Amino acid sequence: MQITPRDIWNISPHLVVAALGLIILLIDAIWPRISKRQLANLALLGLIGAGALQARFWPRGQVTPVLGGMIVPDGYTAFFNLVLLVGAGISLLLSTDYLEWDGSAHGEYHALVLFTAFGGMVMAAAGHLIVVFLGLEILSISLYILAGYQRERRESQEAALKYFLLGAFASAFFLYGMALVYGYAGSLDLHAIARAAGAGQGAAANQLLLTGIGLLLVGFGFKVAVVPFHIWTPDVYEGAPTSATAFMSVVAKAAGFAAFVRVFALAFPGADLRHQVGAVVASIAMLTMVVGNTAAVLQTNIKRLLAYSSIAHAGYILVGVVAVLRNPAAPAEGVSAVLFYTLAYTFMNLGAFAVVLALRRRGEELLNIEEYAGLGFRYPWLGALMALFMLSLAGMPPTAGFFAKLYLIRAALSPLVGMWWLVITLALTSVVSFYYYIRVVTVMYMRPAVEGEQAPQASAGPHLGTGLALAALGTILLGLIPAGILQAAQQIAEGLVELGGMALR
Amino acid sequence: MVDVHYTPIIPLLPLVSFALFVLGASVRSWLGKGARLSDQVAYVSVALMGVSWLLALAVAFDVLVLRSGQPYYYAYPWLSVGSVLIRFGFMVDPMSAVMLIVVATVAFGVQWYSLGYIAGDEKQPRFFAYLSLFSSAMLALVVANTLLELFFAWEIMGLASYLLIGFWYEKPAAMRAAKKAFVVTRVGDTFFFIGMLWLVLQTGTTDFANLVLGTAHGGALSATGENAVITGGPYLKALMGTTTLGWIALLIYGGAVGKSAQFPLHVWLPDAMEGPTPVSALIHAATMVAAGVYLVARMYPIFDLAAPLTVLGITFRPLGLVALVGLGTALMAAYIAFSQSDIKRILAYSTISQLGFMFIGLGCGGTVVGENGVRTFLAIGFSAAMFHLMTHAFFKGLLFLGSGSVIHGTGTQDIWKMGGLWRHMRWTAITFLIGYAALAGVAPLAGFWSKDQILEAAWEYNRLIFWGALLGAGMTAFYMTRLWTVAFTGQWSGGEAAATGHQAVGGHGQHDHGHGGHGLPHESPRSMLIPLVALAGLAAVAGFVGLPKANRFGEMVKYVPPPGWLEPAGAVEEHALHLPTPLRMAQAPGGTVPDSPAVPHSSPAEGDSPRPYGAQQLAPEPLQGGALSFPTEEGLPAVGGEAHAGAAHTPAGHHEVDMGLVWRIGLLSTLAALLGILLGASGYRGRRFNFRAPGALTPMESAVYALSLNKFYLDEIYWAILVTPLFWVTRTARAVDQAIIDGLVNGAGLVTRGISVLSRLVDIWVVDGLVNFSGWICGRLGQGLRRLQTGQVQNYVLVVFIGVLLVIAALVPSR
Repeated sequence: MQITPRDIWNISPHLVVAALGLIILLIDAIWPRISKRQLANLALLGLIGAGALQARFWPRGQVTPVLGGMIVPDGYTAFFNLVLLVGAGISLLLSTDYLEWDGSAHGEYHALVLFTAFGGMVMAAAGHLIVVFLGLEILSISLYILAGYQRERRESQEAALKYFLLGAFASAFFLYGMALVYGYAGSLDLHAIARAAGAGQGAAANQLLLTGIGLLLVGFGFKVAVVPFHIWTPDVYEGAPTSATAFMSVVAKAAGFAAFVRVFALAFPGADLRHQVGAVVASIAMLTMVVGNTAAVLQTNIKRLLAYSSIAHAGYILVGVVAVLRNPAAPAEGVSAVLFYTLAYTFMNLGAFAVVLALRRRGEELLNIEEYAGLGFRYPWLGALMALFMLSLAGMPPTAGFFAKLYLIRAALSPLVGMWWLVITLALTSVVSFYYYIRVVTVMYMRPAVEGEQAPQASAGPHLGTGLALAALGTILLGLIPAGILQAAQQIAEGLVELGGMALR
Repeated sequence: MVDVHYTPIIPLLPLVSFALFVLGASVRSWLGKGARLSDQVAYVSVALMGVSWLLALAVAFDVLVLRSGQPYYYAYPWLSVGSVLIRFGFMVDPMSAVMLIVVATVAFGVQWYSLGYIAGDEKQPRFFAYLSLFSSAMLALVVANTLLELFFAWEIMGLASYLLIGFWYEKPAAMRAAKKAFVVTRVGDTFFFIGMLWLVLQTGTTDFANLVLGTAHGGALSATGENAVITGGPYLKALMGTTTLGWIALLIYGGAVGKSAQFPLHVWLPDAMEGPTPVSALIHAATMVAAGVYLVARMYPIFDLAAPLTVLGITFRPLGLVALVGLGTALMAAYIAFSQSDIKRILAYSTISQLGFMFIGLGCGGTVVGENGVRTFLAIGFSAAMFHLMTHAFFKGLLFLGSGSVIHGTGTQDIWKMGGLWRHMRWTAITFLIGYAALAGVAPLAGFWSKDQILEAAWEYNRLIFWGALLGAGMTAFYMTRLWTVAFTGQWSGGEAAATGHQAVGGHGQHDHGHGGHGLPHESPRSMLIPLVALAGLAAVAGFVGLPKANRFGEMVKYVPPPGWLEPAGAVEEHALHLPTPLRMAQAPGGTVPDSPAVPHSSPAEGDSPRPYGAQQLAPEPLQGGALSFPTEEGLPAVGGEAHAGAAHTPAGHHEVDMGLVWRIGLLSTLAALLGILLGASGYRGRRFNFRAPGALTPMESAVYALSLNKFYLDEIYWAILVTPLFWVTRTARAVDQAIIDGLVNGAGLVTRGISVLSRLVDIWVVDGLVNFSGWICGRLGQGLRRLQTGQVQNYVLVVFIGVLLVIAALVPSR
């Protein structure tokens, strides 16, 4: 295989992010006394640069795979890469102030964020299961370290270890699934698998292939935290440093779904097969929505609440995946719904975490929801923004979350999908979700504020303020004028579907 | 000249005052605690609302009079859902114009009133901000041009309502009520949301220009001179007479059930009375709760053109269900109102009951299919409902503001602790009396005319519903007389101080406003009385726009089915052929809407123009069945599509208002009202009825009484069948999540064995490896990580592993 300059150009955003991570590590090693804020700024600059390079592929990108089919620099890649870059960028903005306050600002944090983003971008662009795995591991290992980043905190160490153990377990399944798929198809290239699975009449009854698909499902399911592979999520979210939780809650999910949808949309074209896999995914989706939303109701810790909420959202997105799998006439609808949802989720979830990161009480983080009493009046902006993010997560118009859900339900409502109960579950569990999201708003606006020493303090530096503003802007704009992004998402989704069709010919 | 083009500004102005408050609050937080937002915010808010009110009147005048009902429509591209382009914009047809008048008037009156009511409260600016947010959303809802935009406004309105109910959050009850209102209405909204999506999938549009006016696109509306009737035909052609449309209609109706507090989602409204009284007047009497009625009226073509649905062997048309639920709600709520002692709760149940009346009106309109598939159109119900919505907004707003004045003056909400207010609060009493009489249906006040129209609609549709509604009218007169007699006549019973033996009953003595001990009741300040007087005037005369002989209202606000629809069922297919194909609004990204094939400009009812009154008989042959027969099927009121024989037997030549019928119904309803009033007055004069005294009732009677007092135990039932299980599921989910786990610890060996049965290969490969691996890890963990050594991680791993097995088992066919 020959690497041409064009290939390099096509993967330039990936390269910039990876190289920047290395450079930051180097700088931090050579000048250990450099201000970490400067490192963060440098990282941000790099992310913006990578974003600019990536924007050249927006929205249609380029369909021909590069590097021997390993990487596909298409519009789909561009979309997810931009989501990941935005997610990583806002996360960096949110982390800077928090880490300084915490006294744990080290250079490697920023490098790790970049490596994670890089891993995610590799996953999004992968046209080959080996590359998916590579990206998955780069992403995961960086996240394990980030989870345990607060070395002095026992919870942080514990979170890292749990995440690592279970993650390794899931990776093993994923790898095994790859092996079985290879056994069936004789290749790990997505198109080659598609040809094999599409040509073989008995694909839908082939135990080797089905077991392989099942294990891949487990691997992705673990990364995006769906029931029952979500079991690590609350503990890890609670234990990890809050800034890292914010980061992993969006980036791991976006990257996981990016690879998940591409692999499942492209590699297994047979209608029977998709129908069958779709049914299993639908069951998982239902279970995830029910468990995530109901378990969130009783949470008292905001990080755990957001953890269960993130599980619930993974369940919603899975509904979109079901629509991709079970609607052969218009899989693009499902894909575009997933794309839009991921972006919307990135903004609103990071926003919610930004508010959490901004709040303190007597030198401690403010994590107990009850302690948010009266916040809406004490800090009108923070309160209003938190209310905005909560309502958006709940799916209220006119916010991003509303349109995100609207498109998901619309994709799943198609008679071809034929899964009324899934839509009904989504609707009913959303009602349940209102209960716990609105509780946060109720506490903020309908409980008298605590005064004096016990009163919560907000400390939002320029970085956090910017991140918060960006998240809020995204949440509002996607709710008011979603047209541009939606059209792009639609085009991109059609591009991906075409790609799948081309591969079969 | 202010004309319809000012429409967008109407909802914008209150939004500006909300934004000013938010900005002001943040400025204050920057300046520190010292700076205080003074009352100016309130005046700004009232002033902006006043301008908005004037604009609303001007726009309504323009549409109703100058343009003689020709709708105003303006929109520009907003976003696309799939291939459907949705445009953002504004539509004012006569119905919206009427709603504009109602909403803006009541909102302005309430804001003015609140100046006095909430004066001195440190949260005053916030109160006005919330009120403004609400008014803005409600006005936007009324002028929305698409269902999606309406839904946006609908939700923001719900949010504002939530904030206002919980305004006095120092009371835990207020906080609970706010949350309850929000979540309960969300249940309905979810149905609405899905119904809306389904509608989009089916018709390719949410635009009222298409769905409601039946025109191809709104832009040319004014140019072509489409007339104002609501029809929607062309765009619904493909769906006409299908059950799909019926299900969509029911889902959308779900939203109305939540918002308009219909059974079984009405439980939030009485609790919402924990909010400040002006809020109750504005939101929970006059405007927001009526939004559900407005929604059904807006979507009337969907409801009307649907085929009857069959569920569990019972066939009903969607509108029939609307009427039946409305009747049930009206009677149930009126019955509950008999025994309540909190003045606001009585009015709240009265509101629920009256909303039920409006739904009866809507449900008794539209098309009914008789035997032989003959379709008969009942014209009156639709406009009767909207008429009642308008008059109700005025007199119920008045009653609530009056009750606020009473609470302000007496310091209690318990009617048994009032008494003799006629003497002490003369202005409040006079205006309250007008509102009471209007609600009770005393001619010639507003409520009389609108209620009679609803009764007429019911008469034409189904006699059982008519008699039920008549009973409801009598009950209304009774409970309102009870309220009036106990609170306003007789002697002052001393307010809160005289709390003797009444605590047992509903009255949570904590009153609205928080001023302390009261002596004699006193009249309220003038700023509160002026809106009362104004609304009293409206409550007295608003009915004259809809007189039977000269029904200006009904001529303007009406619904006419699309051409061809009234042919016998089955014939509609051919007849509809000349209509344009319903339309995906084909669109290229960013493109404009191409004109769809021209809509035939024949006014839908050309030549045979429908009268606002009376059943329009287009059927080739007279209907079967006598006018007085009670078409029932196994005891069920025949809302079914089959048995509408008795629905509308109309003598030939019945295109004029049947004055005989009007007189008969007027007489009957007056009789019912009089009966209720007499019964109430004689029963409660000198407080003779006192069912709460021990031994006053036989066990049987007290069971009947308890049913009313305890609101049919619905809260308790919901708690038992919904909330408790939800919490059970929740706990279980959490338990499963956090500690499946303990059980698994003990049974680890067992599970291992079980797994080995399931899959020997994986067993050896994974579990052994896992155990060894865990052991290795555990060995390395220091004392600090003791928690891990309890084995939680192993158990998490086990959960994941079981999940893996389940996934594989589900995917791989067993052979």
